Amino acid sequence: MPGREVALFPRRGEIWAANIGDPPRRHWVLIVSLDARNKSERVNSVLIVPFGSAGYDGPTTLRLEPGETGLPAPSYLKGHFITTLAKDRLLRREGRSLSSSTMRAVSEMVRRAFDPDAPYQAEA
Amino acid sequence: MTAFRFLIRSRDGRAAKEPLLYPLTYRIYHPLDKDMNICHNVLRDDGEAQLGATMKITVSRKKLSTTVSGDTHRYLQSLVKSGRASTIAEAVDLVAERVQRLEKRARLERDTAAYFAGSPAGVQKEEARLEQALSDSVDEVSFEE
Repeated sequence: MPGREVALFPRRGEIWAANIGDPPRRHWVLIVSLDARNKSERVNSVLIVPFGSAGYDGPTTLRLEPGETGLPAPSYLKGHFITTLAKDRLLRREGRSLSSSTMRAVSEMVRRAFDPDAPYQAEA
Repeated sequence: MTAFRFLIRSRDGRAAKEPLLYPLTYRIYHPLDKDMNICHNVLRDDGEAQLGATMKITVSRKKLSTTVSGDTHRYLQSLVKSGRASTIAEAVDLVAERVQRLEKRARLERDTAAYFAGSPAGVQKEEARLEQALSDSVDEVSFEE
């Protein structure tokens, strides 16, 4: 596809710009699927968690600062919107890769969207 | 029945107890030692002991002396009698673990409800748009791959 820069496969923890919706609009997304799937030519989709510019703290959201993401403003990862996205909707890698510890927090946040026994440290 | 033979040793290597035969799921708490080595020896059907894994575990048990109601005591005893716990102490742990899990589940449900109910209008609008866009995009994914 002209204009696309998917020379390398997306890797877990990377932030990508992606065309989402119909008509497509550009969104930032975090790749959360395992690299074995991401690089497989037999699988045409990845698992992503989308970023939102608006948001606030909740069990399934995570506010990330520009210093961590490389994005221009604070952004909110929305774990309750984890979804499959066709690889050809990924446009280009942007921002920074998230650290292992942040990815662990992301995994726990996503898990709280569907597992009532997921780790949760909020005050009683 | 598959069983493990546990040989409990204290830190200086002396055997703390004679080897005992326990069922596979048996849990051991030693009242005195904090660090113990547990040797797992599988007892085969032919009666020979087969050397298994050795692991160090840390046991942290707190002594608790108290009284409970008759109902509670009967319930704890029923857990032991039914095999769900090996001792009254383990039954107390089991019940406390269940209560904590239920409390944590309720807290997560409550905070999730509060998040969606309390979203400012701007956040709600963005989430609704994102929700729709993601749903549209999923149509392209083949679930047969």
